[in-house]
Amino acid sequence: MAMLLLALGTSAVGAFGGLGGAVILVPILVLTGTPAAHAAPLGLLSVASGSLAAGPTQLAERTVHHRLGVTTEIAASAGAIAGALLSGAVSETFLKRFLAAVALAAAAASALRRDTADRLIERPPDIDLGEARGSLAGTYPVSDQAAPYQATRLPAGLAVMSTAGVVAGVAGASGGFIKTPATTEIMKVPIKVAASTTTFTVGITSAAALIVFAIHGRIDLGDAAPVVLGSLAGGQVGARLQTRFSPTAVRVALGVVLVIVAGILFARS
Amino acid sequence: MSRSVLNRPVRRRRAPDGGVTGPSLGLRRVGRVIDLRGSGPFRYARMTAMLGFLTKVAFVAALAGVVLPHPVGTAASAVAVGVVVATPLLRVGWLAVRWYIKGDRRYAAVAASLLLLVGAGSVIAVVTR
Repeated sequence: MAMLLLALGTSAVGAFGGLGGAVILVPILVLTGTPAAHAAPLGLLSVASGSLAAGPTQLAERTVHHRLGVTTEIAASAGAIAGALLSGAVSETFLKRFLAAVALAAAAASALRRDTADRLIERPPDIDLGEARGSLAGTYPVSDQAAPYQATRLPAGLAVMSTAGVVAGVAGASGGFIKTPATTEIMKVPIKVAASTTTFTVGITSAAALIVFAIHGRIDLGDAAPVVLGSLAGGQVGARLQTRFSPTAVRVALGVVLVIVAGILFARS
Repeated sequence: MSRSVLNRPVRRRRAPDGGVTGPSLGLRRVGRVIDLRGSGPFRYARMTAMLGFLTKVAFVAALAGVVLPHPVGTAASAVAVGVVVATPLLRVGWLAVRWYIKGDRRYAAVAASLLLLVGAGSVIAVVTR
């Protein structure tokens, strides 16, 4: 029951703040005595569950760019597989310190996140909304208008995505706090599309690493069910909270919590 | 790389009569580069329904895994984990097939490569177990 409530709470807060639940769940699990090598697969299960639950809504909004996601995911999945294989070979102390560094990076990403305005055009017919076939361009609806976009600097984006994949494989966090800023700042994709596409891709990254963990026997089915259940429900709760409250204050609070957690993890390691 | 390969519009093959052949059935027959965006409001509708169904399956299986005793509960947990892990890969496979059928073979190859990469990772995991 404790695991269920923890997964539910972290997923709700993570979804509300836009960071995902795993980046909070894994450090808390480690702080409460779970070995980091055992906590990482549970974090990735939380990530994959959140990605699954958000899929239908984001598809309906036409904000997922599948071609961009699948292309960048080649680098991220390679990183995740390498990270998952590496995480079984490094010490618990290294994993704790790595996790603390990840928590600090997530706090920084949360604090620095900006919501930029998109260039709007007259809304085309519904038939033209969404991702463009055969390219990394697209248009997404913004109320009664539309915002066109074109992803650029793919090689640089791929390099950063591979780093996000390693973070996911080693630490069990989604790496979304790296992917979304990279997609917006480097590849110049609007935040809404970047966030939805990242939600799609973190599910694949998690699946790639979880297969490695499953083959290595590192997934505890006793803890897995409450994490999946709590994350599916928590993601929905967080998404509904987003429509009622401004997430800015939550992002700041999340950043503070993550800095404190990182400090404790460093001290304990 | 992004401009020259992955951002280039898909060009259709010409039929002997000058029209367009292949998997573009139902599109206008024009002998130039086609803007292939959009095929209607129901694009990805089936995928949306499938994801909604699999979310419910994962939820019910995870609930059973929490509530039911061993060994039924453990089996239900395994189903929940299996659904959560398999769904993103099924989605990529579905996209690869869809893009191939629609003539976007470049991105179909990218999606297939991603699945091959995950498969290769699994083989490495088995070898290093």
